[in-house]
Amino acid sequence: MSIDFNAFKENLFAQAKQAGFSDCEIYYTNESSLTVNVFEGEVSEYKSAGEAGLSFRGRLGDKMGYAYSEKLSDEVIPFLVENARQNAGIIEDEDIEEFYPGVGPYETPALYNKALAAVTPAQKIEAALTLDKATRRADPRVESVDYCSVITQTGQLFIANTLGLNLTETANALVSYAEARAAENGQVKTGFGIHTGDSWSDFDPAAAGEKAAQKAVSLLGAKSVPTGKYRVVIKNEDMSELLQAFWSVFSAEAAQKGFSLLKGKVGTKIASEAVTLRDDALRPGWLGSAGFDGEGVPTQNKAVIENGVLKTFLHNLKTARKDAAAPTGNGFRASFKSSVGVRPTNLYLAPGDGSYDGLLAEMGDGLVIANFSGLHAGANSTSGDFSLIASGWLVEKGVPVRPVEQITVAGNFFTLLQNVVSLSDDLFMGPPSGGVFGAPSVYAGELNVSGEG
Amino acid sequence: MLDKHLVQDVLTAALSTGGDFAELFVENNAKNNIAMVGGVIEKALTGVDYGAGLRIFNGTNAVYAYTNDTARENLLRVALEAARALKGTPHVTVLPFVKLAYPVVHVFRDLPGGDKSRLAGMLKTASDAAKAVGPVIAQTSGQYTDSIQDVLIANSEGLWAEDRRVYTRLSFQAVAANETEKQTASFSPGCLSGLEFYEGFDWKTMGAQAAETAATMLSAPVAPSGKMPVVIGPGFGGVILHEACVHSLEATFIAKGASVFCGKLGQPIASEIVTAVDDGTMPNEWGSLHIDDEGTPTKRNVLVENGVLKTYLVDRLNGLKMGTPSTGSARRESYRYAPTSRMTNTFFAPSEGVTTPEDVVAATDYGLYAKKMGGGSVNPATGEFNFAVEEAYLIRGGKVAGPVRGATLIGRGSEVLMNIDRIASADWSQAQGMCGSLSGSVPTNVGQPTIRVSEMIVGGRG
Repeated sequence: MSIDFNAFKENLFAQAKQAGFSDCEIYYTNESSLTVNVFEGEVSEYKSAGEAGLSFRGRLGDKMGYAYSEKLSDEVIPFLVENARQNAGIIEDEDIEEFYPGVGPYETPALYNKALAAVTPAQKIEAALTLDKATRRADPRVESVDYCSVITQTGQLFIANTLGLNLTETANALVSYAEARAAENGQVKTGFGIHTGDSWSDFDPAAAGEKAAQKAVSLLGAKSVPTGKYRVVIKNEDMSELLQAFWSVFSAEAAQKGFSLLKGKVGTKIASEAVTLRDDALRPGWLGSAGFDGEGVPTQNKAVIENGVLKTFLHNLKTARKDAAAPTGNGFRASFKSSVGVRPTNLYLAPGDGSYDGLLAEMGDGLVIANFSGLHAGANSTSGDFSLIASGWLVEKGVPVRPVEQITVAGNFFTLLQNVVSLSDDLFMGPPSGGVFGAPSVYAGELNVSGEG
Repeated sequence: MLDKHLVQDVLTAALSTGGDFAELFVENNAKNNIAMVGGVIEKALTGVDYGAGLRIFNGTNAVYAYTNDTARENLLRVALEAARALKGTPHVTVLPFVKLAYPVVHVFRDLPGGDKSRLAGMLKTASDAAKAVGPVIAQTSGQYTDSIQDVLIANSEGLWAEDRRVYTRLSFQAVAANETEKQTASFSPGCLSGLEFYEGFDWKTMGAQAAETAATMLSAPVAPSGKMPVVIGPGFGGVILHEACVHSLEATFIAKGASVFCGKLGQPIASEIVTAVDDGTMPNEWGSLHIDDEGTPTKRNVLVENGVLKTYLVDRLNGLKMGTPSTGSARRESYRYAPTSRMTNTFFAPSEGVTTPEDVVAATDYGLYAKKMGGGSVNPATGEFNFAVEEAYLIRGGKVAGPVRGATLIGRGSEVLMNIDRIASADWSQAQGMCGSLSGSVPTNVGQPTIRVSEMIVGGRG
C-alpha cells in the first residue's frame, strides 16, 4: 500500500468528527490483475491493472453520507468530509443505516493461495497460448477461437470504523475462458468453457480448450423441435445462470421494496422437497468466499431454502433492522464507489447423489436445455416469468439422440422451484458476478417449449 | 498533473524492451451523482477517480497497464513490468515534449461542485409536476450526474496535451401504468458544459409533459405490425444511424475485416440524399472534445456524402493496421481502458432546400410516425437491429392520426441507409446518450432532422 493506512484513517476520522459526524468508517480496497488474451496463436492483449480506492462514510444525525477517492493522500480528506456532509444533507431515505462494532466471532476461510501468487507472467502467457491451441485443434470443425483469456487477480480489503471495527482480508483468484466457433454445412455453433478457482495446479488449459470445442461441435446438426410441453433437464451451467437472473428474490432489500414475491414467506414451503439452496461464504477455493461482508459483519454458511422451506432472506444491517431479523453477512458493496447493498456470497443449489446420465434416465423422454441467451431481457425477477432462447439435446429413453436449436423455453422461476424432481451431482460454480452462482443439472418437470409449427 | 521529467522517465522505461511507441494518459475526474425515486432523494455520491494508463506499441502489438498510484517508484515499476511483455532491445528515444496548442472552443462558466440541494431540487420539481398529472403516473425516477475530467496525454513522439472536460446531465423518467401495461416517457439533456446550460430549463413543464406522454401512450391502442413507411422524428431518432450503421464504420471493426462496410470507401452505401457526419468539434455538445484521448484534435468527419462512403472513424493503433491516419476518434471511458475508435456527435445532416417535417408526413399515405425512439439492440456482425419506439403515432392520408403503443422497428443498418427517401431541413436536433464499447462507456450525441424510411418492418402486437 502506498499510504500509511493508519495515519490516514486517524486524520480522516479526526477531521470528520470536527465536521460534525457522530461516527464514521473507511473502506479501502487495493486490487491488481493481469489479463492475457490470445487470438489466432498470438497474444492480442496483455493488460496489467492496479486499482486502489477508498470510501468514506459518516453518520450525521439519522443520515449517512458517502464520498470516495482513488487519489490517496491527506489532501483529499477535506474533499471527502465536505462532500459526504453535503450528500448526507440531501438524502431523504428514512431507513437508518448503522455501523457494525466488529464483535464477531469471525471464521476465516482460506482465501489466498501463495502458489497461485507465485505464477509468472510468462507462465500465464504460455497457458493462454495452450488454451487457444487446444481449442482450435480439438476438432477439424472448429473454425476459430473468438475469446481466449487467462486472468489472475489479487485483492486486499480493509474496513475500520469509530465503533472499533478493524478488519483486513486478502484473496486471489484465477479465471480462464475460451469460446470456440465450429461450423459444418453452413451451420455455426459456439461453445464456451470457463475455469475458475484459486489453484494454478488444478488448471488444465488443454482440457479446458477441448471442453469448449466439444461443446460447440456437439451442437452441430441441431434442428428445432415441435412446439409443446416437454420434460426438461436444465444443464448445470444454465441453471446457475437462471439462479443468477433471479437471485434477487432472496434479497431482503428487494422484498422490503416490494420487488420479491417471497415477501412474508420465511418458514413456508416455496419449493419442492428436493430443493436446498445454500449461501456458503466459507468454502475454500470458491471465489465468492469472504470472512466478513462490506459492513464488517461475519459471513456464514447458511441454508436459504432447506428441503423446500424458505429459511431466511439475505440481509445487510439496514434490512435486518427493518425486519427485526439477524444480519446474515450479505451487506456487500459492489466497489468502494458504491453504497452498501445486498448480495450473495456463493449461492448454490445443493447437488444430489446421482449422475447426470442417471438424471436423463429418470426423465426418460424429453429435452436437455442449454445455452440460454437473452437473460437480461427475457427474465423478470419481479414476476418470476422467463422466456429464453436456448438450444440443447433431444433425449429419448434417457439417451441424447440429437442436438436441438431455435427453441424458446418459457416458464416461471417460482413454479420451477416447486416442480424440481431431482438434481444430479455435477455442481458447477460460475464466475464471480456480484456473487458466485452455482447449480447441478436439474430435472425440472415440464416446461413450455416453442419450436417449429 | 505530473512532472515532465517523471513522464519522460516512465516512457523511456516503457520502451526499454524494444517498443516503438509509448503513451501515458493521466486523469483526475471529480464526479457527482444524485438519484431520485418517486420524488425522494435516495442516493448521493461524490468521488474522485484518479489514475494513469500506459500503452506500449511494438508494430501493431499493444500492451496496456494502469494504476492509481502515480508515485515515481510505482509508475516506473508498472512501466517496466508492462515492457516485459515485449522482447527486444531499445531503439526509440523519447523526444522532448512540446505542449499541444489548440483553439479553445468549449468554455465552462458555472462549474458543478456547489450547492447540491439546488440539483436535487431540479429532480424533485420534475417529479412533482409529473405526479400531479394523476394517479396513472405510477413512478418517477431521475438522476443528476456531473464530472470534471482533467487529462494529460504524453507520448514518446514528444506530444504533451492537456484538456479539461466538464459534463453535466439530468435524466428523468415518468412511468404510467395500469393493471397490465407500463409505458415510460423520458428526457435526459446533457452537455459538455457547466450548470449554465440548464438556466433556461423549465423542469415543471418538462416533467408534466413526460408524464402526459406516458399516459397518452398507455391508453393508446397497440401498434400494427408489418412492412410500411416509417417517419422517424428528430434528435434521438439518430440512434439508428449510431447503433446500426456508424459502429460498423469504426476502425475497431474495419481493421479486423469484421464489418459490412469493409472495402466500400468511395462507393455508394446510402441513398443519394443521405449525408452523415461525426463532428467532435461542436461547441459544448455532449459528444465533443478539444482533443481525443490520444491527444489528436477532434474533427468534423463527413462519413457519408450524398450517399457515398467517405471515411471510417480511425484511432492510432487501428490506423497503423489499416495504413490510415487518425481521424481524432480515439476515446476511452477512463484510464482503465486503452482507447479505440469511437463516435462523438453523429448525425444525418439536414437536407438543403426547405422541407418541413409536415411535408415528410404529408407525403406518406399510410405508415408509422416514430416521434421518439427508445432503447434497442443491434447485432454488430450483421447490423440487424430491433428498437422500441417510446412515442409512436399512425399516419393516415398524409396526417398524423392517433397514438399507438408497443411499436418496435426491425431492420438492418445497411438497408435503412439505402431506403431513406425523405430528409427534412427544418427540425434538425441532437439528443444525448452513453455509448458502450471496447473502451468503455463514453458520452455521445445522436441527431437528425425528421427522416422517412420508405419501407421498414414494424413489430407491433396488432
